[in-house]
Amino acid sequence: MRTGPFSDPVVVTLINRYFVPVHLNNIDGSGIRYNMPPGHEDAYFILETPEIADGPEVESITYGWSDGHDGPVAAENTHVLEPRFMKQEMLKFLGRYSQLDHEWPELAHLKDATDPVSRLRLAELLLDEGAADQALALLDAMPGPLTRTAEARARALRQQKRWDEAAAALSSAPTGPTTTIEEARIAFDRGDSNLAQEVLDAFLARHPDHVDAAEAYYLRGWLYFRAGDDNSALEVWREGIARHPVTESLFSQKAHLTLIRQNWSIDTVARSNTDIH
Amino acid sequence: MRNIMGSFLFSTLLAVSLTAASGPVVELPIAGVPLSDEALAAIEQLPGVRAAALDREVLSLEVAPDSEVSVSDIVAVLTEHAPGSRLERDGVTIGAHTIFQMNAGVCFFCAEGPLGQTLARRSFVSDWSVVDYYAKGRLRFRIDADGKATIGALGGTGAFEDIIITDRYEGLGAPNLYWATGGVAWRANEAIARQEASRSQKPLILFPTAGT
Repeated sequence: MRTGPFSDPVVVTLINRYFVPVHLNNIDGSGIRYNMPPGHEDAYFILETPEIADGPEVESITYGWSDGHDGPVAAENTHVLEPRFMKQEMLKFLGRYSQLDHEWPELAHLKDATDPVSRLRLAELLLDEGAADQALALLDAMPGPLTRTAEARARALRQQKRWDEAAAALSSAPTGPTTTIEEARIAFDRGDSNLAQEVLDAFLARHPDHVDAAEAYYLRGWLYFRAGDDNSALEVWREGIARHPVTESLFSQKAHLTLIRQNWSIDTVARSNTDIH
Repeated sequence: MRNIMGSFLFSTLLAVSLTAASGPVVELPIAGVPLSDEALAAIEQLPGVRAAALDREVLSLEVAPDSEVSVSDIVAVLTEHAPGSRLERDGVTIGAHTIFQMNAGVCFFCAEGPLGQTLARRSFVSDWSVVDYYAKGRLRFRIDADGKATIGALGGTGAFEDIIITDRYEGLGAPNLYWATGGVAWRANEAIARQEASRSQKPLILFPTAGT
């Protein structure tokens, strides 16, 4: 399930923390840039070192598939950039140009903290980047059945696709909206559509305006789609967007893009299940 | 007499409806045989129609707030109940609540350019925006017209899958199809991004692809 690379919050976090993102207008007829003719539109991205006075020459790498203009590194032969591929290449780029890899200030600040609250926050920040191994190492060293800790542990284990352990970690926390949505994510990601449907329906019936409800609507729509009920999928996505405007909710943005992408074909955005929350 | 009564009835209905929120009113030119009371009643029964009245050769239609009435539905009613009458669709004046539905058959991003070029050739089109989109290339748009313009001047109804009268999109900005997707903090332009990258010594990430 995806709507492009930004459907993956880990990709978004990595971009926002470690890169300077800009959307190039390639349809203004200004000329060929990066070997891309004006007006050309396809799924690719460019990573580029910054221009630094008396520094090394600017280097740029084009990634992705584009019609007639394959970049140096070809993504899968698809018109939608694979989030996992993008994450991998961003990390590789940062590794290659380590002088440009500046640790996120809040992570650096919390690195040496010893109090549980700071350690938990550090683990959550690492999970935002998809660094489940490091997060788990921190969480495993933390005592207690605190709800937030259990949720973070479940999230880390889910990122590692250790479904049973993730569900077990969650079961140690008191039930509430945030544990319920995590339960739904686990069920959804492991492909247990029946359980995911049951949990999401219950969640939406009780908490349609909860901060996590936009995600619940989004996931519920995909369950309908998986079941072949496109119309109900559309209905649920639209309802989610209506309740949680795209200006306020990442998942409504994702639903919004999914709706747009149906103009291609919904199948092209549903082939894989790569979202990591 | 019937027309006078019809106008009176319509005025009364409008007056009554003013107590509730009022919906958009559109005037639809009718040619051929004058509409019968039966046809008018059938039009009034259409979902979304709050009131309908005939004044000479113009059918005045009030659409209930947040509802929609499609021109094709009205045509269907006329075909059944008033086969000698016809709706002069191309003569309908384009208003703020006239929504054009088309099936581009291609993705939005592929359809947008040609649609924009087509509309740009119409001198009376001061602005246009997509207001909604559906599966498989179907989208709805509206235009802001300078002065009075008819659907015929836009290219005729044949160019569109349907024409919808609704206030559903009133006050709604055009959906931002180039949404700053997924929470990425896009910089305002390339120059700003490059300056920041140099200053912060962070790498740039550039996306030339629209909409993803």
